[in-house]
Amino acid sequence: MYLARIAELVRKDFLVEIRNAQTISAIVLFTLTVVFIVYKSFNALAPLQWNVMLWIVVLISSLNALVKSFSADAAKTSLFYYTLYHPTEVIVAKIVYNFMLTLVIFLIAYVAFGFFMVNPVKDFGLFIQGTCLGLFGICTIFSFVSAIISSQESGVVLLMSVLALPLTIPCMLLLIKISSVSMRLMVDSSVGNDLLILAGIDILLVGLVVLLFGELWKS
Amino acid sequence: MELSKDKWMHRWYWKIAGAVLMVYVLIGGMITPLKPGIESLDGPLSAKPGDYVELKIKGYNAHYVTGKNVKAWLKLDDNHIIPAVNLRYVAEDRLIAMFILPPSGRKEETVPLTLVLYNTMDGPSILPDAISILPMTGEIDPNQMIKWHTSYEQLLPTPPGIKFPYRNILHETIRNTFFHVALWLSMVIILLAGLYHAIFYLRTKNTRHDKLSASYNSVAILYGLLGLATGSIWARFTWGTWWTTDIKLNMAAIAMLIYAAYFILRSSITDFDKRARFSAVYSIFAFVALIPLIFVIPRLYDSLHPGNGGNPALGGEDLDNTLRLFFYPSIIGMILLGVWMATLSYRYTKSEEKVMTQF
Repeated sequence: MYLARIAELVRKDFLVEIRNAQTISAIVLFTLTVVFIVYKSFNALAPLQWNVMLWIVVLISSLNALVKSFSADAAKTSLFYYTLYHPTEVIVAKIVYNFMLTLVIFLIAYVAFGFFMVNPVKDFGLFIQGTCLGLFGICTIFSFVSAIISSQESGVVLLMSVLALPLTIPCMLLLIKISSVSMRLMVDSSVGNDLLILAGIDILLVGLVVLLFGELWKS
Repeated sequence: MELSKDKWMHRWYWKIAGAVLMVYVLIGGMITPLKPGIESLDGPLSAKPGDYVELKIKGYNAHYVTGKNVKAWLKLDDNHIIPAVNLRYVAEDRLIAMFILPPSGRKEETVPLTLVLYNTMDGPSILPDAISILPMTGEIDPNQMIKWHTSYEQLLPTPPGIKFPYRNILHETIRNTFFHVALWLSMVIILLAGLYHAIFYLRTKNTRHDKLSASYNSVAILYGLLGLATGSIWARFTWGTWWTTDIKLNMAAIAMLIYAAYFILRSSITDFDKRARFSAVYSIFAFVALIPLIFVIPRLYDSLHPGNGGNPALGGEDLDNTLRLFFYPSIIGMILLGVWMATLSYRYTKSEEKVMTQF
């Protein structure tokens, strides 16, 4: 029941995105453009820079993609959801949907980086594990902050960057560390520990967001 | 009802207590002298067993001429001590000590020795790794060489008086403990007060808590910036640079960014109720996000900063009783002063709101 309702909300978000294809295509184009700028600025990227630039591109693109995740719904529609769904269902559905969107952005950036520049990833399993955990944390933070600023009329992107980017730093640092281990840029026998810490941060963030979202939702 | 709750803010005794404690820390922490120490050493870095070595010692706050019963030893461990064969006084703070090194007893290792000085005015002073004994070579017969003493000849008591410990890299900057470390600790306490009021705002919807939360957070930011500044000055004198890539410094700077964003969020929302609610939610979220930033991530990386990468902090030898005499009052004083500042800011915003709503 609970899960079905969340799936329903995710499906609705997906349909809105597909019917309004201009947003998603703009994001794809944005990601590709930034990848191209990075590629032409460096021309040849060493694995270290490849790693860092990939994550920065994914971070900035997903920030742009998720900034409107709450303000896209008109005020009347929000009121409608408010009567129908529990706040927890709304935020969990939003996080799940945003996570899928972030993964799509990541895939585009990853494939483009691999296409233009040699892909240095050696341990693919570790890389994917780190990616999933790290991106989940990042998109939880982005979803939450975009809920906080949804009532703003102007300057949304700037406010979102200021509020959300510093909060993503723990996730980003761990993500970059794990992926550089997966590229054999550094040797770290305790990488399993890092994965656990990242998962811990994710659980902490999701729990907090679920707790606090009810307070935001009433507006 | 609100007035009775805020009554303690109008009382003067805790404000006076905070001010008195800070004045005590400022004066006492600055004028208490350091213990005498060995500032630098000129001599060979290592020598063979049986060698005659001269160590030119430059002392700090030392009294080698006026002090009586001046003695020097090299120490391997508590049972292997060798006294100087001769001492020459060059100046009040300069001394040349001559030693004949005994065999280290190890075949392959180079063994470092600690230099210990004593005189009646200064008490003992110590310099680790003063000189190393090279491994023994087969040609020398250990039995013909000078023997280790198994204890100090007669250890006299340390002269009385409060003096801060002398540490070789820290020197006089050890006083910064009262400011830098105390600032960070009191910042965490004041942030907790801000968090408490943010949570209580969400539970009671009383704007008093919102104003108090914002006031505490602003004082915490001020303390954080001062903590960064004092840390930067300390880093200049101990590590030789104002700022490093050190993880703890940078995480602290990011924590400041997060709380600065809190005020940007506050100023960007015009609706009173919405501002209070959203900023309370953000500050709770930010505080929890700080936990991995300050307590987890720095432990994963190597760091120069005490408390990381095996460096001790606030433990064992680093915080001795004379430092505690000023360190704890400093924390309490800073918390009291911070709460005072926060209540002033709170009372200011409250009266501002009162005036605004009159028109």
